[in-house]
Amino acid sequence: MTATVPAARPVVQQADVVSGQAVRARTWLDAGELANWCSGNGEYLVPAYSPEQTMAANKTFVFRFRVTPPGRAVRRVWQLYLEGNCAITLDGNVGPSADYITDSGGTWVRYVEDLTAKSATLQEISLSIANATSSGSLIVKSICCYEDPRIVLDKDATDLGVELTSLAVREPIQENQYTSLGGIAAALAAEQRRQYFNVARPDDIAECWATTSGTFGIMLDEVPILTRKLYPASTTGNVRFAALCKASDATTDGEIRVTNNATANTVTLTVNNPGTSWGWYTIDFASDILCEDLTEGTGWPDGALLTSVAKTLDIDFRVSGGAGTFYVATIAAIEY
Amino acid sequence: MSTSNSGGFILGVDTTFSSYGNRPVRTSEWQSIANNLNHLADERSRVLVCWSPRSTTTGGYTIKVSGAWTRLMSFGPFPLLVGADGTPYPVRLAVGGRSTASSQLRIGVCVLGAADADMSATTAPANVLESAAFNNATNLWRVDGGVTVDPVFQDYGIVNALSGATPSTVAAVLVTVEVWGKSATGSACVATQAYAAEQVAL
Repeated sequence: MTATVPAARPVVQQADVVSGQAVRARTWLDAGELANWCSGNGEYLVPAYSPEQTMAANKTFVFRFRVTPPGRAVRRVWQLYLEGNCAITLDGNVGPSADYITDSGGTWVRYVEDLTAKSATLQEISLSIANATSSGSLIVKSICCYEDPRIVLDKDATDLGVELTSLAVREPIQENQYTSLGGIAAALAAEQRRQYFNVARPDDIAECWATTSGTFGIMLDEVPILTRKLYPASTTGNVRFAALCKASDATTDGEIRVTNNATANTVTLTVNNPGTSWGWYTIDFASDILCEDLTEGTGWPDGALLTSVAKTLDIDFRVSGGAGTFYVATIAAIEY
Repeated sequence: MSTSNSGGFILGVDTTFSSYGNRPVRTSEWQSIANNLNHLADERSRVLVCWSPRSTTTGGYTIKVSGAWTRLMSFGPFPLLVGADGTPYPVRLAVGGRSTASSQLRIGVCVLGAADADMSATTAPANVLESAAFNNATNLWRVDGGVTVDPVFQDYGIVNALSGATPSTVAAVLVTVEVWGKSATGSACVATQAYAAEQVAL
């Protein structure tokens, strides 16, 4: 009796569901398997990026990310690509730290966090990289974090797994929880949310983004983005931006401006008096950023990223008040 | 290509299991549920890589040798979603950079163990995009498109319960997203940006 997650996604044959004809059990079995497949594959919480960060020996960097997981994962995996003849220690938010040896030819490092509770709440996750005293310089070339897939879902309100044996031939149609057609319908409520990017620099004022200028300067240039297509007529989606900010004193303010190059529209995140402690600030960009076009092989509307209308964002920042320095350690974008 | 008939979610579908009990359920309701499940899976695709430049003229990683394809970046490895035909979801890709002499960039999605052969092949294989030669000091996207990956499944260790309990394995297509560069002039080619995201097949 299991809510198994198949390795490959099925497709529900909608043409099999027509008036006046019995629907085959096979059709609903596909639907149950597909519901489990959608829920059982994890999200990429930190799409891979390069912090372009070089660490001296005896240095520790902490990268902080803002996520809202779907809430069904039991393991998070960090994948890094590092260069340098170094002895390092990685530590996350859950479980023990781990030591690794890296070399100058490039080393892939995998660090796992076995979660102690499933969580779908807005939260901060972080990765600490410590370079040992005796090590050389370490180049942090890439970081990503994703949720491992599941092979069996729980039949509960968190996982919403569908018991597949209840969809076998000759089984009665039921509306019970986590079984049969009632379970399939309920599984549609399972949260899905796409993380578009999550770019962190160390939460160290010597390493993060910093400006004393009142003129906008680049944080990230030409960031590709396509939102999830939700409804048949959708051409855009909603994106929430979150930034980890602080200032050098109690009276300096800052602004982060996001420009959608496809429309030339902007939103500006105003950070008034963030003070000298890191804090998260958010702003929503509603119904403006292009969504995927499923009639295109690449998903890009018009077929390509590199067309006359760029499907990218520019993100810049400035000091908007006071005389100090405005710092940003992380900028993240997620569907809402 | 959308596998749902309407190409998007149909609104008004009740997701309370008990709403379907003790009454006849119309065909259109079950059509809508089937449609929404298919669309949910179509749009289950994820952003694998999103690396953008912090400047228009600086940053990135430079080739270390001249006259040969060399690795500039590697992202992953990570498991791809697998479609109904047993092949992974296609991946849309883009790569960019700058140069001080004629240079080329490649971005590819490579199954584990195949990156060196795929990325340095004389002719880019189907899982690799190659830019035209460029000589330009500005960080710009140089090529974009979509690729497919061979369905090479490997045992991938997972756990299936909290706190590391119930270890198991799944069959997964594990890939790295690779960025390689080439120039006849040493240090001329710099990769500054890359993008990769899953996309349901046409």
